[in-house]
Formats: sequence, structure tokens, C-alpha cells
Amino acid sequence: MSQLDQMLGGYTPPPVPDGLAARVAAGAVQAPQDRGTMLPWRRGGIRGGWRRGALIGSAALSLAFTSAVAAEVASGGRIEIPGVHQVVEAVPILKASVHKQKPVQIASIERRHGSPPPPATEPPAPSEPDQPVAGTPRERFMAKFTEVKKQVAERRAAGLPTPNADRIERKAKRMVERRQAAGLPAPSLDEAEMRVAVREWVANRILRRVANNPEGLTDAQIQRFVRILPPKKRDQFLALGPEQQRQSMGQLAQRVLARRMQAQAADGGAPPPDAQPTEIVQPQSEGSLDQPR
Amino acid sequence: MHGQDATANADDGTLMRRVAAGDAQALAAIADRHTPMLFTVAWRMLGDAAEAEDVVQEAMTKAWVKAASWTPVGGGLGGWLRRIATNLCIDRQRKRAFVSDAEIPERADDSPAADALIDEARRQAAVAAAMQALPDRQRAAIVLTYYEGVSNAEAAAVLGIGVKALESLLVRARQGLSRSLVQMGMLQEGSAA
Repeated sequence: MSQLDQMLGGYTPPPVPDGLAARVAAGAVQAPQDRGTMLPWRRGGIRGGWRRGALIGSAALSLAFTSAVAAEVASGGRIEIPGVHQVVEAVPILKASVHKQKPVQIASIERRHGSPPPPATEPPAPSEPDQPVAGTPRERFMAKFTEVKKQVAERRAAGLPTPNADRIERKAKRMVERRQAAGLPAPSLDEAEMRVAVREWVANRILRRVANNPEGLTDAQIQRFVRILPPKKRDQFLALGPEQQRQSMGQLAQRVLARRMQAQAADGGAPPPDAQPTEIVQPQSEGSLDQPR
Repeated sequence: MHGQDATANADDGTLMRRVAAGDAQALAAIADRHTPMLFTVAWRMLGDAAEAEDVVQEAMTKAWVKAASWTPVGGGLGGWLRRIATNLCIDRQRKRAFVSDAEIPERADDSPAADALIDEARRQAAVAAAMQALPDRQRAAIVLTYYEGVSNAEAAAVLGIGVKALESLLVRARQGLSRSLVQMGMLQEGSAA
């Protein structure tokens, strides 16, 4: 036995006080006894026992609600849970999270799975609140076109120049007259104007894309470009290598854009109507030139 | 008279069933049987007779209140009461102000005065001071295993830890006791093992 054990052995308690057992027993029986071995939340007689059920219930409700909010926020607003959605809309931070969309990403995913592209951003229609929200790209463009026409009318009423609108109107008018002269079915002037505007918008969009990223051009797009070239230019173009062809198309697009910008700056008029729909219509591919005929 | 003898001779299980039914006499019999053990444990844990009495009172009250939920497993009624008393002592120790083991304070208790000339009394006071300087769980481990003769498994169950953890506690407790006693000059360095 070590010295420490010897010392610990000498640590003896004092004798138990006389009558301690009787005193503690007498004192203990004054307390009320627990009844039965029921589960804690089933014990009705325990002080504050009712609170336990309420606490568990409220905790479960809180968990369900926060889960619902998290689901709505995480889904970016695609899941709308009644009741929860109103709360989410009322809280600015949550609302911002829900409405934070990633259209390009979602579109690419859905396109990959063969589903139709998602609806583009809705155009604001302050002048015509009763107008139903259009569903197809064409309908959306029609709505925006009507709005732009109204702006053009306002500018004309105010005596401001509208060179682009004038040009599109002239082109549309010529188109209608040509078809009527040829005995072909002709669209209305508004319809013709819209077709011209769409065609210009798509052409501008492709030009901007080609100018900014000529390396991104596909072979099909180059072939399409070759078809519209005059024969002499076409031979010159086909004599170039693939990279040079792309560079050539990029330079051409830059030149055309620069010329148009100079023309617009010289006119100093209203913004071109064909520039407006860029936020509205999302063509499915570069071949959209042929779509809204 | 015969009834009192029967109560005194009844086993713990029978007595607890009667206690659960509200039999105060059965509780008195249990108190007679287990109070010395509870007082000893509490005194060794707390180093104060008055506090030890309070702990015995609280433990016995819990036995009365919770009698219906008691089941005869593990160390039986004695083990259950010991566990209650140990936890009560630990709770009381935690409510006290923190005492560092860097300086061992002189303590005033029922044990013989530290300045007494009798060697035995001085040694007991030193051991008491060293025990009080130990952390709660280390002290509980020493009291249960060394003084109460409880098995390591049962002591581990009382403290809610594993056997390995209890063994580790015991080693550290002995080291702490040795260090304190060496500082007080009651033990020579290296002679503890």
C-alpha cells in the first residue's frame, strides 16, 4: 500500500448524527409523490406538464414552417406554398431570394431535356393595364410593339423626330404595296411593320453576337452566311480558312454596326424601335432570322 | 411490534413498493438502512457535516417522490440512492465559488483543527483539504471507488461516463491528491505510487 493510500485510509467521516435517519424520513414524507411511471408528457399531475405538450407542438410547427420557407426560397419561387408564400412575399430578404432567377441557366437545362424554353421577362404594360399578359413570344412581342408604337405616337405628337420608326414604316409600306401589286395576299400595315421590326431586331442581335464573339460562330451559321453573299464575294470568302472566315464575319458585323450607330447618331431621333424588344423575345437559335416572317 | 420487525427485515424492493404506495414506515426503514452510507458519501464529497445532512435529506425526499418510477436494476436501491447523493453533491459543489488547486485554503469543518499538534488530526485535515481541492468528478470517483467500494462499472454508471473515462478520472484524482499533499508537506515527492 502506498503512502497516499495510507493517508486516504485515515480520512474517516464523523459519526452519523443521532436521529438523522428518522429526521430525513419524516421530512421526506411531507413532499407529494409522483404517481405512476407514465411517460413524462402523459403525466397530467406534474406541475407545468401541460407546457411540455405545447412546447413540442410549437417546435414542430416552427420546424414545418421554416422548412416550407426554405423550400420556397431554395426553389427560387417555383414552389409556392399557400400561406407561406404570403409571408415570404412580406419579408424583403426572402422575397429577393425567391425572385432571384437564373434564366440562362434554367433555359439551358430545360433545353437540354427537350422542354420548351422558359417564358422571358414580362414586358411592363403601364399604358394598357387591362391587356391580358401574352404567353407566346409572338404575343409578347406584339404587346411590346404596341407599346413602342404608342411611344412613337407620343413623340410625334410632341414634335420630336422618329427616324427609325419612319424608316420601318416606309419599309413595311413598300412591302405591302409590292405584294398587292403582284396580286399576292398582303398583311396589314401594322403586321408588316412588326415583321420588319422583328427582322431588324434579330439581324442586329446576330450582328452584335458575331461582332463580339466571331470564334463562337458555328459551321452552319457560316454556311448560311455564304448563301447570302454575291457570287464574287462568295468565292473570295470560301477561299479563306475557317478562322479567317470567322474573323472576316466579325469584322463585317462590326462595320455594319458602326455604320448603323453613326446613322442613328446623325439622325439624333428616338431610339430605334427594333432595339426595344431585345429584352422580350428570346429566339431559340441563330436561325431565328427566318422565324417571324 | 411484529409489523415493525417485518418492515425492518423486508428487502429494498418490497420496501420501495410500499413507499410508492405512500407507506411512511417503509421509508423510515429505508432511511435507517441507507442513511449512514449516504451521509458518509456526502461528507467525503463535501467535507461538511451540515451540508452532508442536507444532501441525505434531499436524497431521501427524492426516493419518496420518485418511488413509483424506481426499478430494481443495477446497484439496487443502495446504488440508486448513492447516485442521487453523488449528483446532489456535484450540483452543490458547482454552485460554490471556484476554488483553484494552486492554493489550498485552510478549511473550517468538523474534523480536528489543522493546527492541532496531534499528527493524525493534521493528516486528516490535509487529506480533507486535498480532497476538496479536487474537481467534482474526480472527487466523486475517489469516494465511490476507494471509500464506498463500488465497482468501476457501477461508479462509471453513477457518473454517466464509460469505464475507461472513470479510470482516467481516478488516475488524475490520485495525481491531484498527491500533488496537493506534497505541497502541504504531508507527503514526500515520489512516494505516492
